[in-house]
Amino acid sequence: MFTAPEVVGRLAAVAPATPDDLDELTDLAWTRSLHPALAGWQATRVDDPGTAVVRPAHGGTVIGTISSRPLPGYPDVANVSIFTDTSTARGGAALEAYAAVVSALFDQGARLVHHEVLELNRPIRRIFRGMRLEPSARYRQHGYVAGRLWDVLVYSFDQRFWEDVLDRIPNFSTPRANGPDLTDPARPEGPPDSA
Amino acid sequence: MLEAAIVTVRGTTPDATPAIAELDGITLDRLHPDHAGLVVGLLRMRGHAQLLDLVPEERNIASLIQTMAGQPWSLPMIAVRDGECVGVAASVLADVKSLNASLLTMFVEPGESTLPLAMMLRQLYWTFPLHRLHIQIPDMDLTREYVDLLTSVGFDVEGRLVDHLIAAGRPFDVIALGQCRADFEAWCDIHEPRLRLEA
Repeated sequence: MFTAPEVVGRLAAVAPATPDDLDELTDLAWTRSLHPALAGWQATRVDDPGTAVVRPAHGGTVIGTISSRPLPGYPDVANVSIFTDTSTARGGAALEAYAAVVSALFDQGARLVHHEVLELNRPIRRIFRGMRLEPSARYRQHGYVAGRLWDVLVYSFDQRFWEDVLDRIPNFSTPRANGPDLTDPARPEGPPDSA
Repeated sequence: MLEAAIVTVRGTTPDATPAIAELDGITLDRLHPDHAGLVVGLLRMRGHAQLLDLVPEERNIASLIQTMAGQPWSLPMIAVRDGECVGVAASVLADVKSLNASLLTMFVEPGESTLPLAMMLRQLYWTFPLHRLHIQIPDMDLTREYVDLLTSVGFDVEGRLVDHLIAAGRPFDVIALGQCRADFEAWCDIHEPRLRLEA
């Protein structure tokens, strides 16, 4: 079992979900369900210690959630999903929150962080490409969203890879002055995924 | 007008294909909790302990079979030849929104089990509106025969889960395989037309 950290950064504050967050999280779940890349409606859970709530660092309404759960059948592998409401979140806040959660997972003994991403989720794929993370599997026609079945891409990495990411992109939460802007949605697509 | 419409509908109704529970001496049957002893025997063979992380105790397996049978789109089956179990298979963890399920399977002789596995797959696609089945096999010498068996019935290798499995203290990749209904139908057209789902 993984536990969401409690961290206040420069842009985002991360904390474990509590029953007090239920209304806001249910609203966010509805927003999420309207986004084609995010696998539709999912019931809100505040009883799972792996669910992190993300707010602006200075406080305010919930801008996202990051869920970390054990991947069934694979001990110490954390299956992580992330959602940020881009209509309310500042660019960079989600990355800062993600970095806090992933670092906490490795601190808690996670051996691997695992992501399953719908192929149409270009923003997340773009972020992973910026991390030099490539998918290792493509489950064909595996997820039904937005009126049809889509492929699902599998990504994973260990702590050594993560530390290398932090070294290469030291200011992971915000774009470097002369580095890649991992949060810029206008950034052009790279080459197709190899998997 | 209504009569004409009804006649038209009747005229285009396709024939239903039958279930195929017997073929070339192989019989499929429902896997019952009473088969738990057979499953325990299978779990102790070959590299099966690496395929399925189950405690090989009859009571535990009987309970699991009972539980699986009550799950959506789950169909635990046993294949028998000359009165002997040749293997078992089940669809589990169905995602009824995305029309897929995970496949569990074990055979006494995986290298000789293409036909019984194909019959079981047909029974799954015939019974449920599954679009896809998927399975993960550890990338080990002991379990490689299952990658060969699954690809022999039309599964595709879809990639690998790097270092996901720890066995004997070291990490192993896990090979991800998947099969869409159309893959199975194409396989039947080429290899075993008697198992086609369409008349």
